[in-house]
Amino acid sequence: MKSLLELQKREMEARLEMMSKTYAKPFALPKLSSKDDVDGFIHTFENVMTINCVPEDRSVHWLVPQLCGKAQEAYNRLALEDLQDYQKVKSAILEKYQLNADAYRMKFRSSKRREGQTYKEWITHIGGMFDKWMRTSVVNNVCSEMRDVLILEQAFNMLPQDLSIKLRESNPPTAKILADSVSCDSFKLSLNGKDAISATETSPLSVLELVCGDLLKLITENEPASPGPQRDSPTTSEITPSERVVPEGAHSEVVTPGNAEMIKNSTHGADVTLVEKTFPKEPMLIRDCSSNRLTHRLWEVWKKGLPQSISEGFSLVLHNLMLETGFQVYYAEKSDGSINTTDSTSVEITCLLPPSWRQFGCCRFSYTHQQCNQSHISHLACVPLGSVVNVTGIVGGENWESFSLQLSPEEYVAQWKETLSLCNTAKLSRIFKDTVAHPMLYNLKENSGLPPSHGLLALAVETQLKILSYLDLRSLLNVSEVCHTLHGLSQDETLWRLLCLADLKLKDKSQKNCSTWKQAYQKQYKEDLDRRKAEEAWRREMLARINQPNFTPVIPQYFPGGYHPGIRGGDYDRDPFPARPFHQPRPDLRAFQPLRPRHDPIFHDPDLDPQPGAGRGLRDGPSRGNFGLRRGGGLGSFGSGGSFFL
Amino acid sequence: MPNIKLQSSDGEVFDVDVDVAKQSITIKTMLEDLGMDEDDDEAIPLPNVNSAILGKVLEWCQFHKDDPPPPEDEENREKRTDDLCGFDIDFLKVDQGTLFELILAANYLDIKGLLDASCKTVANMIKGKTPEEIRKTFNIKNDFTPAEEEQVRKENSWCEEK
Repeated sequence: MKSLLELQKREMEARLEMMSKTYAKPFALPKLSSKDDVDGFIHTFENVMTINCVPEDRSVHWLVPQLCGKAQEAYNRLALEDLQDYQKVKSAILEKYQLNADAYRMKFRSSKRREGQTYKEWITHIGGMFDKWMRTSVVNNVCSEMRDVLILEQAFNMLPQDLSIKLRESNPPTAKILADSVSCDSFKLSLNGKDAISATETSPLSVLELVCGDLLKLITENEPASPGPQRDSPTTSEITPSERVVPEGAHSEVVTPGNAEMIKNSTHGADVTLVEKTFPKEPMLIRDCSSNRLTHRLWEVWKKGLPQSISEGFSLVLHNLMLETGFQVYYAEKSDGSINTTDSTSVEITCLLPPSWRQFGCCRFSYTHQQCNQSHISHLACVPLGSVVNVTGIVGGENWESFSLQLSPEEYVAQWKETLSLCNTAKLSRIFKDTVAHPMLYNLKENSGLPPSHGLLALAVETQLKILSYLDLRSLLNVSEVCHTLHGLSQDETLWRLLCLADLKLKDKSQKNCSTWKQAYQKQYKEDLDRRKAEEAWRREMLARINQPNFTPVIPQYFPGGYHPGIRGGDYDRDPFPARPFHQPRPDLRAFQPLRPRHDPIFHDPDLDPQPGAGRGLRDGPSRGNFGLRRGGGLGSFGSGGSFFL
Repeated sequence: MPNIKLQSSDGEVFDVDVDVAKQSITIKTMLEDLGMDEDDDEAIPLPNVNSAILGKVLEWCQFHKDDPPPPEDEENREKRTDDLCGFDIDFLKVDQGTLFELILAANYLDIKGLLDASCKTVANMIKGKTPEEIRKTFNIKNDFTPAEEEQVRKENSWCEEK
C-alpha cells in the first residue's frame, strides 16, 4: 500500500515536473501566424531549442502550442504514435506547406534581394536555402568548398550585371567574404552630398530640380569597415565615368534621364564614396596660356599642322586667335579636288585647319564668321619677312578692307620644336585682336548689314555716358565728331552739367540765362576766354615795357616833399602828424601839414627819454602822441608784417 | 570663410569666398533677398556672364576684396582717369572685346569699382585722340556726309583748346 502510494506520488511528481518543463515558458518562442513563412518559423524555433538545450524529443511539446492554421491541421492529422516525434511533425508540416527539396531548390535559384534587405542578408539567405535544399534531399555530407562554389555562382547570377563582373574580378574565395565585400546595401544620388534626391522611378528631372550641369554625387549609408577587395581592383576605373557627370554646357553631353539611369546602374551597390575630383585646369583662351599650359584647341591644331618653322608655328597661334574671335575655317572643294577658297557655293566647315594652309612659304587661312553672311569670306595671311611676320587680314564682301600688323614671333613663341611653349600671350592676344581680328569682325558685320554686337557703340547708353563723363572738353568734342550716334550722345545735358561744375564751378545755368548746360558752358567759356585774353594782352604789354633797355619803374608819390614813406603800417603811417592834444581831430590830409620827424626805432630817438618816473620812459599814458615808441606800433610794426615801399 | 558657388552661362561652376562674391551688389542682394544660405551647395546661376569673363571678374574681386567701400558719389567731384592702381592697369590690358565684356559684366553684376576702372580705361583710350583716331581705335564707321562733318566741326569751333 505504502509502495503504491509512493509510486503514485512519484508519478505525480514526475508529471508535475514534466508539466512544468513542458508548459512553463522560461523563454520566449516565436508564434506562427497564418501569414508567416513556415520555413523561417521552423528555422527560428529550432535555433531557440538548440540555444536552450532542449532535446529534440522534448521540443515537440514546445512546438505544438505555437502552431496554427495549416500547420495545426497537419499536426492533428498525424497518427497518434507520431505525435511525439519531432521530425515527423516537422516533415508533416512542411509537407502540408509543400516545402520539399524541389521547393527549396527553386527558392535558392530564384531568390532575389528584397527591398530593404542588404546584400549580406541576402547572401546568407540563399546560403540557408541551399542548406535546406541539401537537407531535404537527404544529402548529409556537403563539403563546404562545394557549398561556397555553388552559392557564389548563384550570387553572381542574381547580382546586377556590372556589380557581378566587378566582384568576379576581385574573386572572393568564400560566400562570406563576398557578403562582406558587398556590405554596402544601398546608395542614393544627391546634389549636395548630404541630402538625397527623393525620386521615384518615373519622376522627371524637372521635378527633382535637376538641370543640365548639375554634379550628381553618390552617398552611401555606411562606410565599409575594411576596404573591400574591389577597392584595389582595377575595376574601380569603371566608376570614373560617373565622376564626369559635369556636362560642360555648350560642348558636352546633356544629362538625360536615361543617362542618369546608366550612372545609377553602373555603380549599383558599390560602397565607393565618390569624391568630387579637381581636374587639371586648362586655359580656355590663348590669353591665359603660359609656358606649358596651352588650350586644347591649340594643341590639336599644332599636332595637325606640325609646323616646320617658328613663323609657321606662330601663324597657327594667330589662327587660333581668329577661331577664338568666332571665325570658322572655311574651304570649298571643287569637283576636280582642287581647293578654291573663293568659291562660295559649297561652304563646308570640316575641321580646325584647312588642308592647304602652307603655301609658298607663307600661311594662309580662310574663314567665314558664324554670325555673318556665310558667303562673305575673310582671309588671314602670314608672310615671314626676316625676323618678323607680316600679318594681313582681308575682309570679304563688297567693300573689302585689309588690316595688317607686324609681329615678331620670337617675342611670343619661346619654344616650338619638340614642345610648344608660349610667352607674352596676353599682349599678343590684345594686339592681334585689337588690330586685326576685331576690326575684321566689325567690317564683316557691317558688310552683312548687322549692328555691332560689342564695342563702344554696343554698350548701354548709361554706360556710354559714364565713359564720356570721364572726358575733358576737347576729347568730348572730338568724340562728337566721330559719328552720328556719338554726336547725339555728346549733347547730353548731364555730361555738360558735370563739365560746368568741374571746369567752371558753374552751379546754375540760369545765371547765364541759358536753357541748356551746354549753352551755359559755352557762354561762360567765352567770357572766361575774353577775360583771359584781356589779361594776357595786359601782361604782354607790361613784359614788353620791362624788357625795354631804359626802363625805370614809376614810383607813385603819395607824400609830397620827397619823403620816402618808411614802414607801412607803423605808427608813422597811422599818424604822420606832429603831436597834438588828445581828442583833437586829425588834420585834413588833403591840406598840407608839416610832418613830424620820422625816426628809425632801432637807433636812439632823441625825443625819447627812457627814464623812470611820471610821464617818462616806456609806458602808456594818455599823452599818446608824445612818444615815438608805442604799444602796437613802432618797434612792433617792424617785425609784424611791415614792408617797405619801393 | 564660407564659400558659395557661381555658375556661368556655359555651365562652369566657380567656388568663391562669400566676401569676394559680395562685392557684386547683384550677388549680395540675391543672397540677402532670396535668403540663400551661405553654405548652400546650390550654385547661383549667372546667365549673362560666360566663364572666361566671370573668371576675370572674380580675379579682380579677389584682389580688391579688402578695399574700403567706395565713397559716396558726389555730384561735383573731380573726374579723374589717372588714378587707377597698378593692378587695374595691368588687369585691364586686354583686347577690346574682353574689355567691353568686362564692362557689361561689371554692369550686370553691379561691381562699382570694376565698372569705374574699366570705363576709365576706355576713357583713357579716347582722350587726346582726333576723331579719325577714335574711329580707328574703336572700329567706328564715319557716317557723316562731308557737309555734316563740316557742320559739326564748325559747331565745335568755339572751343579753342587743341
